[in-house]
Amino acid sequence: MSDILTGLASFGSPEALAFMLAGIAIGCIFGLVPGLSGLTAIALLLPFVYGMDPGVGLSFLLATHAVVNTGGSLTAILVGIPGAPSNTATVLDGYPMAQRGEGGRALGAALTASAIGGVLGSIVLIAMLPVLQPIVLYFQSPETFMIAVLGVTFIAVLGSQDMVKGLLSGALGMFLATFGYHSVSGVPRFWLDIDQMLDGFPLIPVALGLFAIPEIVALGQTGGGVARRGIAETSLRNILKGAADAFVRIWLVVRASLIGVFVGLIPGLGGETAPWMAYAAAKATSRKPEEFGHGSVEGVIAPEACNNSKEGGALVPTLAFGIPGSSAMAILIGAFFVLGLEAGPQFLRNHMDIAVHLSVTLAVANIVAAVLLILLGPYLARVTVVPGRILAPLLMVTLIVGTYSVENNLAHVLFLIIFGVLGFLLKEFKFNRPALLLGFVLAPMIETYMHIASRAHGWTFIFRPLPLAILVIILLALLWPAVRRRRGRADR
Amino acid sequence: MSQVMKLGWTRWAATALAGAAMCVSVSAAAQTPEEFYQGQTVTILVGSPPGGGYDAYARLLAPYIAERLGAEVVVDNRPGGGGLLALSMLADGSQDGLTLMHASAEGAIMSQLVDREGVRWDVGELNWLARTAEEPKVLLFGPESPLQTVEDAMNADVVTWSATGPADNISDVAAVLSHALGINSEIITGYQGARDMSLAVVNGEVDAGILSASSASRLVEGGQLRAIAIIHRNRTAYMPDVPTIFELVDISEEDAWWIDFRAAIGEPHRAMVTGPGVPEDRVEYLRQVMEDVLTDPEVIAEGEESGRRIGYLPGAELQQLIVETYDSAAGDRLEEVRRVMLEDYL
Repeated sequence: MSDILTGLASFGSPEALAFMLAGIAIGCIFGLVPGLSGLTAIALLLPFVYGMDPGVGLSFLLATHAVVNTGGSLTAILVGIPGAPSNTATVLDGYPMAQRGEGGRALGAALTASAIGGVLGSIVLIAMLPVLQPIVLYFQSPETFMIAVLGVTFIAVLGSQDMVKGLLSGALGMFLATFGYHSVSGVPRFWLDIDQMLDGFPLIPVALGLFAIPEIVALGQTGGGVARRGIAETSLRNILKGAADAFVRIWLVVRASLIGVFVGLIPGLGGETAPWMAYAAAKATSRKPEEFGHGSVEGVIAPEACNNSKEGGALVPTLAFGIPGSSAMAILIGAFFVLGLEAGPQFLRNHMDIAVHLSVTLAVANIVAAVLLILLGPYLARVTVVPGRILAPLLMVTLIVGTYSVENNLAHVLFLIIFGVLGFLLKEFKFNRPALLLGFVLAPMIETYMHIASRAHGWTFIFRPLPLAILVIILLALLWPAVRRRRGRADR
Repeated sequence: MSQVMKLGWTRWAATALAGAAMCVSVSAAAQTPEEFYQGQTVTILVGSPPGGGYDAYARLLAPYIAERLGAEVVVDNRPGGGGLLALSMLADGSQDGLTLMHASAEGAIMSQLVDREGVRWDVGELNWLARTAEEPKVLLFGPESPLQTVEDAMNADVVTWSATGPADNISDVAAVLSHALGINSEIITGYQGARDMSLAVVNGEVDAGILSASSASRLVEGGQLRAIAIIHRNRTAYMPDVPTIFELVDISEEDAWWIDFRAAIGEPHRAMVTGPGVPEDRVEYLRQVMEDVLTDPEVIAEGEESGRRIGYLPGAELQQLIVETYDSAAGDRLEEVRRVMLEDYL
């Protein structure tokens, strides 16, 4: 109990609040600019936390990272370019909404869903703090493997408009994932004797190339701005109307947030897939699935709630074991050391107050960022009247600089362009880019964890409780449409 | 008049140029390494993303190196290929001595030993400047593991281990230990780094694990893992109460060769290194600077405070150690080493 009070006190100290606000501002900007991700933000800020009070330094980094997805939703909706890889799903419905003059509503819905998702994520985190370790310990390779398989079945949902192209896209993603080191044997595949190919295709250039470049090209081709009907619709009133949309669909927000927490919780599953899983789940359970992809507000709410909540989940293994739940969390663990703390099992025992401080920061940062952007929204939205031929080159430059800065690697810019061309072609021929990305991220996990699970547990690993339950869910989900069709016929 | 002036100007310029050129050439000939580094920018490559151990040490040392060199020192993270990418950059890049790397000497030796794809340098030809840190490997069992002692492992039908991949400085240690002690091991690869590996030992997915002493000590203190033995002749300051494997088991001379050989590969561990073609006087100077920095009480204290123990070894000794260790597994022995490390238990 005293830990909670100390944690709250350290959260409320002027220094901590000031740095949190600074972090929020930096995070929002990094989110807004395509190519600059939370990972970059936290990596760039790491050297600055030297000598800070541990709670202050960590919450500064966490606040920055936590709100990047919130800022990124703005760019995704207003100009159709994902600010960060985890905003790619938001583009699908947010951008069509903006194009038909509902940008304000989409913004309001996205920002509100982000805030609620972020708060839910931190509530789950706080609730789990006392029992974190048994929960993380429960997840072994069979569980991770089956969740990845579940993720792959979402390819079918995402590709349901044109199943053949959807599955082909997913398969192409899986194929592209086989480049570089095979994680089990350490043998590089298809590396063509090029050192840069040893690790395969890097995720950030792939995701941004596929989703950002085709949109920037399209934007450059339009004479006017994004919104054809001016900016009136991004007034504060419309944004608040969107906010109401999120509250009306509170169960969708909760469900999407829980998916985020769950995926974030599992080390190695990678936060980038979470919003797509939430999107696919929302589509599968929606009463109007046909609206998805054409400007469904549900399609904006689900991924945005999810990409903020997943940070709460990702903090769980980070705090409980010092095992990063995402790549940004890996840098956060680096910050633990910089600040003289040890991320790991005894961290929670010795520093529960800092854990509380971090959890509260996560919740508050999400709310503050959403409120800030809702208020600034009408002004930021003016970007949509800037003619595309002016906006597109600017975005292209920031995208390239941002991609380069992740690892200071010029090869990543090349990958960005290659995958940009691929993305452009896929878009032109109406292939399914989300399915490709999902296949790309999940294939190596399935390959690796199936190997580990079968060697460590034998083939009976599938009969462990959670994997078995997931298997049943997968079968039901795959069979359900057929059952529904047959019943529909019988009723007639 | 104007022509004279023009001529005068040209002549003046020519003289000045010649003079300047002479100055430059003279200074180049007589320029000491001290003068060379003054005001330059020195880059320390790190083959992993920010936040890891190699990065932390590099950032700890950078300001002190900068002060001694009178140069600006920047840390440049170039992750990729498990550090191979950065090491290739160092070996292929400009050999002026302005690019250093804080590298895993252990990883470099192992990569060359198993002839990994992407190795484009000779570990003996790189100029090793100093060892910055050193820590042995520790044998660990999980809290719920049925194994209690080393004998249990030797008598078990099968012992499973977690590792990231072949020759990852973990699986090869487990393999060598299994070979020396006659443990029937199955090493499961594919785990994504030290954290993922240790988690698998903690949650009982595998029976046993190998970790470096500093990573292990945190989990052992937290009661998550049981440290069984140090895989080395000597105990470690990270966990002084844990006995060495030689204290626990009688090991024949032939079997001991394997453990000693692998421990010798681990001995250079984290090290500063520069390219193979850097002029000798600059290498000597850099080695001196590293010695000054790594024996500075202030640096040692700062390292101790952040859990980054300094384990200095002079550059010349390090170079010799690396070459000797590599050469001790030559000819037929090399084939046998590769078989044990890569095939027998994986």
